[in-house]
Amino acid sequence: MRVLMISSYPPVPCGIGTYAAQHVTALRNDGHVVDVLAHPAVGPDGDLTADLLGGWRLFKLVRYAWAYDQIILQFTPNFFFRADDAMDRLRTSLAWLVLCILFGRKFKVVVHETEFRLDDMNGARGFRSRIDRIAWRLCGKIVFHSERERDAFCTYYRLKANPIQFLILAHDRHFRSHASGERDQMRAILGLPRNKTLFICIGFIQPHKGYDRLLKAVSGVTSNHIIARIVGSVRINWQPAIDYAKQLHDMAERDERCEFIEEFVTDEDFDRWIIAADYVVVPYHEIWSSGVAARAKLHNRPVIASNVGALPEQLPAGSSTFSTDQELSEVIARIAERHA
Amino acid sequence: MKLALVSPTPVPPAFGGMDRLLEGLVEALRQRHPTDLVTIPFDERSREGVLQGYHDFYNLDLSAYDRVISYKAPAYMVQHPNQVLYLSHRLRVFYDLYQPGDAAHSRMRDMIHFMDNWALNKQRLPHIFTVGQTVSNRLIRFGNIASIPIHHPTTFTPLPPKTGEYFLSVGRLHPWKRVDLIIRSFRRTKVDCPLLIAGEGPHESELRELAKGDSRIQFVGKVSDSRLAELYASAMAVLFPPISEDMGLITFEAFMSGKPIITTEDSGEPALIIEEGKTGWIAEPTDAGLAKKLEEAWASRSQLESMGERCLAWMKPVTWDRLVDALLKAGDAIATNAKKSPERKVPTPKCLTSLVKSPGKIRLLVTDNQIIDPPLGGGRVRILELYRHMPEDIETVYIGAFDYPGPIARDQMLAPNFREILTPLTSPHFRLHNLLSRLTSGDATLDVTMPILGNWTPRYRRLLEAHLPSADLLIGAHPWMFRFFPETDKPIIYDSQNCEFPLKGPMLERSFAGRWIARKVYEAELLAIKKSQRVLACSDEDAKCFREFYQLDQERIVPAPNGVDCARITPTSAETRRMTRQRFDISRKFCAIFTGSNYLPNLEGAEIIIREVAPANENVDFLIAGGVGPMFRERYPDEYIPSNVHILGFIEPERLLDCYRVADFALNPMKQGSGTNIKMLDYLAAGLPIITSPKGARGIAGTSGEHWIEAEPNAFPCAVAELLELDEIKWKEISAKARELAEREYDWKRISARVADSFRELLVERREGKGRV
Repeated sequence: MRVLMISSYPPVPCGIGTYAAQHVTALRNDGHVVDVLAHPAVGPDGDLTADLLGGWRLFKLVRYAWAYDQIILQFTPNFFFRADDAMDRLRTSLAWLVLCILFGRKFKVVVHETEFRLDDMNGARGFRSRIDRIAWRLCGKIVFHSERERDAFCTYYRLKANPIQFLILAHDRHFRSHASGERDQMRAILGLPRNKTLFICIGFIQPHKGYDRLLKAVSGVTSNHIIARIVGSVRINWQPAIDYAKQLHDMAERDERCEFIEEFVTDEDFDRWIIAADYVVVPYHEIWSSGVAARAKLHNRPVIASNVGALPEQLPAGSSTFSTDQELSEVIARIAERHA
Repeated sequence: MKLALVSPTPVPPAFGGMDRLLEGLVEALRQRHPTDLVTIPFDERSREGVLQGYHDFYNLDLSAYDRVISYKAPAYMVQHPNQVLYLSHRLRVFYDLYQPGDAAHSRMRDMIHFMDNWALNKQRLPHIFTVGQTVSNRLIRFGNIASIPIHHPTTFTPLPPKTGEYFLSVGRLHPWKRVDLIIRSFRRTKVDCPLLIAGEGPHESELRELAKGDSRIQFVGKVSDSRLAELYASAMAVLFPPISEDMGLITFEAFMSGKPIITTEDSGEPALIIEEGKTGWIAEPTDAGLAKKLEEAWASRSQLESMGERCLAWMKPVTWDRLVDALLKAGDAIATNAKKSPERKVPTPKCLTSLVKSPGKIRLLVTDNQIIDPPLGGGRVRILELYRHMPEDIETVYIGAFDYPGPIARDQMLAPNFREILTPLTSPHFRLHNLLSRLTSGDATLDVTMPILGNWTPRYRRLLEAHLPSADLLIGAHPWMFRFFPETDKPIIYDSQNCEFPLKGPMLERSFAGRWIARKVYEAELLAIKKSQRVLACSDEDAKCFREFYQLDQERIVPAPNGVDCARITPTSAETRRMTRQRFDISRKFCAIFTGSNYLPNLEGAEIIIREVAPANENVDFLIAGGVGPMFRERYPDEYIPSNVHILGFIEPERLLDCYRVADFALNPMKQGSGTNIKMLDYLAAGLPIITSPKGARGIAGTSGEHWIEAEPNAFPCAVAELLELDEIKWKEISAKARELAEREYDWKRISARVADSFRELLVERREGKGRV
């Protein structure tokens, strides 16, 4: 089958791009012929490039869509919709509708993020939302990483959760391991002590990820048997993210058991950290599903995740969830006591 | 432990803040370990100078040092297993100060980004420190590279602060320092004290003009360090509103002198350092904005002393020790990690070798629409052999495309001096090609549709654009891709393999679409000839063809016949032949070979052998090797194949050698073709007696009866029978002469050396502004 993958793409650092690259590898291993269409601003290394962001630009897909049996679109609104222009967004929705009319059956949309919030379940009422609703109905397949995500989406757009059109695909379905070895081996490589219980938060630094919650929770526990590491870098030059990184540095400096390692994490190091950890903490304030939790699952590491979005659905065995900072402190305290 | 502090020095030489830092840092490092300051001149004024600088640092041998601290672009290109970077800045004209220019400028930017991203890769440089937050932010913005900012002190020796008497501006009088903004805003104020402007620079006369009529503004010119210290000591505050300054040594010097700073929001590092109302003022970058803050400073002059104390306190932790500690600690961490994890060693810089050529070498960028490895078929073999046999001072980067769907991009070395980079063609490309192929009843092959469809594989052009800046010559093997060549002032060469239009035109004339494509073939070939300063021609016949069809000037034609690797293909002894035959299913007394790719003239040759020659000579086994065999089976699936014909299909090069070893003679019944037949040269090198058609022997400087036996294709059955009748002495004689001809005229080494000479000559002509075109 000839497949067109539309996504951000490596070498530009982006979680969705990394996901897409693994998806492409899996498809190629299955014998499909895959071309990647990358947004020039976020992934210039694709076979094809086209700026699809905003207005009628989505129509550029017409040039290529006819040539493929399937078009997989890694969807996050930021790649296609301009945030600050209502008319522009309307044009994009109309373009998306026309594309779905022309090529709807070919589309397989992997939803990473959607525009509406979980707590806004009043349904698609506005004109643009109604257009989107029709477009989604015409779309061949829509893939989610969790049932909760799918149900929320279908409820919002008032669509029937038809299992043929709306698919659930585990976030780690196409994931490949980038590092192998034992926990202690990885710790030796990363320069970490073997005899401590290690909690990590890993990924790009953004305020909504709530990494500070782990540092606060560890500070509230007196045990010397635990250590915490925040590992990651600021992906985009966005002041709140830069400020947040500074805040994490300040917090980490106050507790010698904590460290914030501000660096870009390669795929190999990402997996090394996961394997080295005893617990992977995903304390996000908002998220649908998490690639970090999916990688933890790939390496059989328990996750401590906030009870948001569909995170609880994707956790591996031995994981736990929390709703408040207090609950996170209690979870960590219990673990510290157990390992003391 | 021996340290090297590595940095470029500007061409022409200039002393500035960076030099103060280097002086101070090297002294501080020497307090701990023996340290050498290693510098290389770096000329940023031209693209060549920039590339040369990258290249020089990349090749700098620092193996005598235990650790390296690099500073400033492109010093971080050095290769050392223990390198820590303390970055002052990259080449800002390719980042935040980039101004769009021509295509070459844009390619240059892409190349600099590529090399910088490679050099600053975390696997290679796990510890990057910067001179300030502004540089760190820029690393994040351009390249998402994490780093740690550490401010450094200077070698400036301050005097104790005195009561302020004037406002002071210090620095080069350059537009980037915005002294004009200081003057304009100062003139708007009613501040009753002088403004002293220290420094000199290209903007001085304009600034003096601007200050005319205001007696408060005084230019003090270039001053010595001691005078500068005096000026700082008696200033009220220092005005420093540059555009996006990386470090702002002036800020530190003022702080060390206990003087607050008045800067602007867009000044870069100074705006990040200064705390509003505590260690200075941050103004809007307008005349009115800065004037307002000046008035504010003037009004609060009673508080200037306490502000100065805060400035001094701010500078306390900014010490050489702190900086040196961080750099050495990072080096320790690298050393520890290298012991723990050998895989963290510096990766092989393969990506770099593609873009920066080796010192003193000529780089050829050769391009075509096909793959090279495996080298099956005349076209692929020619490209690989011609360029890999080039003299040692020439290296080749080949960019091509997979001519079948499915594979992913590939990048590999096929020889120490030959690199193959391939991109897949996209699905729309293949589908449109299939459509054209159907419209021409299968006559249109992928190569001839390439000039029409090449835009559907944009990555091909991107690869060319990325690699062109580092190349000395751009060479198109075949005319198909010339349409997609980026604009360049570098010499272009058309390495023709055939005269394509007379060859392809008749093949395409069956249909209307075919005739249209034939026209495109003509245009593509014409364009290739027009764009090229030299045309390599495989044979005299091709050269004549170019002259007749395209009025190509004879002076631009360089003879470059096809060749053979005489070291690899050698005559076989009787004993080796006997032993090799045992491994093949060869039972008859004689064995003949015909090789060919899936190409129409080869198919015609195979048809003659299968239908006419084999049935008439049952005491001979006929081996048909290469793509022509499967092509025959596909075209004629129901055709009877005599038992003495062995269709081997695609075979590995080593197995092809075995075929030559078992064969007693070779056949080449070609009815058409252009250029020379590489298979003929293989047969000659193998010392095989050959029966060939006159068309098959075209372009080869031998004679019938001496080096081979010529016969028309329809006379081949008789010619074979006659050959078998010849005595052994005659066979040996033909064999020896064939080999001698191959060695003398067609050994790739000789051909490549001749072609290389013509390339050098062209480059010299270019350099000297001469040239025949």
